Amino acid sequence: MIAGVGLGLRWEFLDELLEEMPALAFLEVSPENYIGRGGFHRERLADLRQRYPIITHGLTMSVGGFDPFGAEYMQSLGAFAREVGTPWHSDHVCWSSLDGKLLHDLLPVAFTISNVARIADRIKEAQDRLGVRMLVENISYYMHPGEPEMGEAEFLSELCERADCGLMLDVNNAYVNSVNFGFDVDEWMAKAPLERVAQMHVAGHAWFDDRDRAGQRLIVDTHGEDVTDPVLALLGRVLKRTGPVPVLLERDQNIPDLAGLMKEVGRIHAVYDAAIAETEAPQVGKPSGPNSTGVTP
Amino acid sequence: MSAIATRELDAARALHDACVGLHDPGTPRAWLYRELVQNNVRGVLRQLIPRATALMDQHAKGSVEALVDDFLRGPGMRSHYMREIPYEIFAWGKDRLASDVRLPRQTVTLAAWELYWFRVRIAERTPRPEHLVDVAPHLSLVLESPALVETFACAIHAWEDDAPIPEPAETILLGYRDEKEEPKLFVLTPLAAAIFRELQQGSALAHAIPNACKTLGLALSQSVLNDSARLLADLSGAGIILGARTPAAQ
Repeated sequence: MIAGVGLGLRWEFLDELLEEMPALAFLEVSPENYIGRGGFHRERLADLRQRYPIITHGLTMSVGGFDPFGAEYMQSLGAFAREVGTPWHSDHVCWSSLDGKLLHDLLPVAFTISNVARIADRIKEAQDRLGVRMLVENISYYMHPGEPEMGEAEFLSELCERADCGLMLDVNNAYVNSVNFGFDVDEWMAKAPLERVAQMHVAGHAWFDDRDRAGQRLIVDTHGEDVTDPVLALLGRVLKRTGPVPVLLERDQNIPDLAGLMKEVGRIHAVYDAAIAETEAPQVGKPSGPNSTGVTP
Repeated sequence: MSAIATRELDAARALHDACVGLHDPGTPRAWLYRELVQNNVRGVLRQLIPRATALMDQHAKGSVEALVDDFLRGPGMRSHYMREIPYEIFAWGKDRLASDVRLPRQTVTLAAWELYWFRVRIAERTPRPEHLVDVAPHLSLVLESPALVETFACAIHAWEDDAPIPEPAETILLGYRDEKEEPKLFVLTPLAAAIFRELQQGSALAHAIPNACKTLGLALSQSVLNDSARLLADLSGAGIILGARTPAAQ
């Protein structure tokens, strides 16, 4: 069982990672960056697999989309998941393609009863075709298409229940949405299916002017800053309820060197260890030893 | 499809069209999604063809953005893999770049070269046959992969930023990776390229050279045989010729 804090593998710090091999519970990779690709980075992933558990996190399945899943994509994804031995595969509760055209972004789905049924069927299909358990991730969204019939947390709860899948809880996304839409994130967490959380994401965000509301600002999930204190505090509160699930630091822009990233991992560790010490959930799988990386340095 | 699903599909289509700039539905924050999509695509294009896009910025300000915007409004992205998107854009837009009088004449060649070089760096290796035997004239050769042959309008691979733009001169390149995954290049003569293509298609050595001569309209002379020997020595030295298939596998 993987527990502790991991890092999203990015090529900007690949050389340093290979040289230093720091203590990390796991690495998360996006299969889309490796499928159909050879060369240096693909070879180095094979090296890293010898040292770290690998978890896959997809970007373009379009779980909430209307197009059928692409046969070649799903076949390649399943093969990649088996190759790296991921315990599950996650992707986002969003759509990202329509009429065969991809947008390479995470577009929001409507929180409606019919979408619960439709998307749950797609998740079940994906699980069957990939041969691994699916986790679905709550996204940062900036508008809702049409009128919602329920809140996002209830939508996720119904969806995970009906698809019998896990939840990849992105703590930063929940926080970003709570600020942008003005709701209480702890109330949101109370309604979210935390019992289905198998992994969490944390990341940094940035403020921008909201052009639709003069003088107002909104947060965009940029993954380009350090994780903010309110997000870390929220992570701690959630971990007390979920117990020791793997937590991932995502950083996609303004990526610091590995030392800077490990400092950030250390901040998350401190929150993780403190929360797990007070956890309300069963302690099954809690790693022992001087740190909780789950991997011997 | 139910009326409810149709409504949801229509909402998605409206947001899609806003993202690619087909129309502005007036939906709050649709602008943000449009910028996120545009910035992602512009970013990967600049990443994969940095020198060609720099030329575009320098000589035709805004042309990168316009190219991406028109591509998104037109054929759009089809690949799940972001690194493939610049190839899609280039395949669709290279004629437009070639006819843009504001751009230096080798912009398209430069973009093609950058995309080719990226492909050399990342193309998957094909699995090697389990059993190989020594090279013999009647056997098909097993070649290392990737080994990509492409023809360019000039010696674009040798062009450095502050040098004059190379004069047009057909240049055939063979890109491959060494055992350390470092990308490497050979410049091929037309004869060498024709022989190599024959070998890649599985022709036995004894057939590859005469076939290549026939393709190019050359006589099978001593000079051709000497050039062929040099090519094979170079390919072997670079580790591109791995051996030959066993007779049973021919």
